[in-house]
Amino acid sequence: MKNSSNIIHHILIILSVLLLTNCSEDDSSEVFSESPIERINAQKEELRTVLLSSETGWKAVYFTSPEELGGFTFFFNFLDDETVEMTSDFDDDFSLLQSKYDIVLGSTIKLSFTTKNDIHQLSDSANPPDADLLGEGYLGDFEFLYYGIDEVTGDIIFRTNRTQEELRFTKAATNEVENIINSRIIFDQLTDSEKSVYQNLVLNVDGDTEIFDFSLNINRRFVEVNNDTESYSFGIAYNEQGFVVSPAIEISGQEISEFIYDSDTDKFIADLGLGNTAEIAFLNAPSNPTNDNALVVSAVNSYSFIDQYLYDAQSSSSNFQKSVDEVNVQLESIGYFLLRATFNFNVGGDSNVSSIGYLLGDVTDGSTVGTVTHYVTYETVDNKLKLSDNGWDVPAFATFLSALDDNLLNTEGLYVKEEDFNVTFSNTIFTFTSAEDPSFRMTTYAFQ
Amino acid sequence: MINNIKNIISVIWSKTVVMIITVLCLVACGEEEDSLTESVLDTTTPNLTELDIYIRSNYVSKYNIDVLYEWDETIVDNNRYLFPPIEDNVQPVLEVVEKIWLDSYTEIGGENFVKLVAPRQLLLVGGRNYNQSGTILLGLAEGGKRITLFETDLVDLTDKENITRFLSTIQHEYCHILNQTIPFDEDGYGEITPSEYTAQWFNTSIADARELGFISDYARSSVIEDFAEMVNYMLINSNEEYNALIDAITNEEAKENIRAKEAIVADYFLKQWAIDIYELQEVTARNTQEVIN
Repeated sequence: MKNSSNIIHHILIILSVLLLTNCSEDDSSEVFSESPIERINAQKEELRTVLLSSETGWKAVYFTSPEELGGFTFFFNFLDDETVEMTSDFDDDFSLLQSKYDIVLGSTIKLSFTTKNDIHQLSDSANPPDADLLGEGYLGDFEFLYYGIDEVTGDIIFRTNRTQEELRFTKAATNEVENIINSRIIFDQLTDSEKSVYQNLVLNVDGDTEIFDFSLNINRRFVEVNNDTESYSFGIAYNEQGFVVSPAIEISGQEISEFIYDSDTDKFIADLGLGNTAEIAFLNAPSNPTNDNALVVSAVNSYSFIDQYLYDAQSSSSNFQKSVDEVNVQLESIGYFLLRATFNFNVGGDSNVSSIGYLLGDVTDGSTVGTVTHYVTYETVDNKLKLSDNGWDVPAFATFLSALDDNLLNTEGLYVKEEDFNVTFSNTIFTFTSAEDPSFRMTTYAFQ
Repeated sequence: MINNIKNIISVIWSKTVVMIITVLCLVACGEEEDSLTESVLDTTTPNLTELDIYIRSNYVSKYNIDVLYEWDETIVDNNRYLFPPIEDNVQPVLEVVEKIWLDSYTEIGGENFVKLVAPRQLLLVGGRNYNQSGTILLGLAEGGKRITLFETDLVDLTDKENITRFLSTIQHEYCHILNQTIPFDEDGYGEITPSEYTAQWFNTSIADARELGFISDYARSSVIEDFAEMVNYMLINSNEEYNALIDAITNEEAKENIRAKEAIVADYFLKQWAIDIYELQEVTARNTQEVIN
């Protein structure tokens, strides 16, 4: 009986402890007053409301991959809970197209453009800026994670779904589409190779001048500036006044974020304050010419423009292409077309024998017909390669080929440059630019 | 005696206290919950567009196949740069697919054929799916449950070659689904041209592949793909067009090997699915022509 009493006392103690402690949880109160699903729904509603709140729509300047590509400007107008219209400066079609959008839960609330529109052109595996990005397009996204609203500016803050790059939607101007159309005019001013293939960036700081070669990859909207000692690269996005650099770049201690186009001087100018400027202009000659003119004639070398692969190379200027087109118009009248134009220096090791070989094809079946040879002599003067007439093997062809040949033998000579990019094949690329008409630049494969 | 009585009273008292405390323990947390209120989940019916209604009527109800055309990152390879189709392009493309693929199989295989043996989802992607190697992925059949069709936006309804290219993806992928449901004799099939299968199939042109006993370049990638390509080429061509392809091959052994593969394909369709593939070929060719006209 004693044991029984003890057991009961023990049970009593345990139960008393349980009674006193079982409701004493200290974490029972909710951190949030609403359930997770209610909070998600509220956030969705918040985003939907703000997207629809701007009567002028939204503008976004989207740098998909700032290390290698520039930015594209989009205009979005959210019409109702599921329809959006948009356009962009991706191409010359500025019509507003409608498509669907949705606000859904991903890794957080996200804005998803669910049927095709302009924004998806950045994510087209079949439409990259160049072969290096085949399969990846412009590395773009069309789903954006919602990170709230900037209380100061009113911007909607997103991050891209794939790469977590910040992207802001800013309230659009009343004439935003017009601004985008005008930005394409700015684009034309900066990329007009008919002016010259040479551009430079001149930095004027405290009375000192520093000159850089300026090279724009048009498709990538990506710039490289360099001189003998410094090199920089950055993406740009056009606007109605000029272009922005994002993120801002510091060159020689000067932070540069925007260039404005000055039509009077045909220059893009960045005002750096205190009278300091950075200016981009077209030039008649390279600001940092190379000695590659001497290199190409230093041995038995050949450099060939192969129409099939190099006509559309970005380094083949539009005026060069026009020359080729004109040659083909002439040749077509006798049943031929141009396949290749090849510099042959020091043929057979003889420094007195050099030529330009024009390989012709048959227009009826595309087959190779043969080569017409224009013999030349060369001299290297002031960083230029001057070629002079030394006779044709078939003189009758001279007139048919003159649109191209005259440029290659222009009296001012050719600027020659070994480029640091490849086109389709691994052969080194050399470009030949007319000093007389710097809008003429031919691209060649080296056969050294 | 008194002690015994005391003990008994003590035990009874203790037991009573235990019962009270136990009851208290059991009810202490039994606070009454709020009665159920309206669901916080969004249960409203989605807005159905004309396209959605068409899909429900002509695919979901008729064939038990759902069509997914709005982007959903959970069902598309996010490592690829792909995008959804233009909404206006979806129904015209689906009508072609219905006419050339679904109607043809239904006419020969019976009303419930596709309904019973079909992918449960058809996923439409707008553009091309380029591999970085430069090859293009035309379609996917994932576990027999879903066929993904790329290039929806590139379908030109007036161009037979273009439509044929798009439909070839479905014919090829649907064959995989049939094979996943009832396997074919892979060993026997693989003995016809055993040494010519290669992972580097894309280095061979279609013409060269045919001279090696394969109906296409991709057919060289494996026995399973070879079989699906045979079915594909038989169904995207009329019988005359198909025979002309074979007749154009100069290597006689290659011709015989392709014909031997064709015999296995025809036998599989007849014995396993009760379908005469030559009848199916005829109906598919007729429906294709009607679409183009």
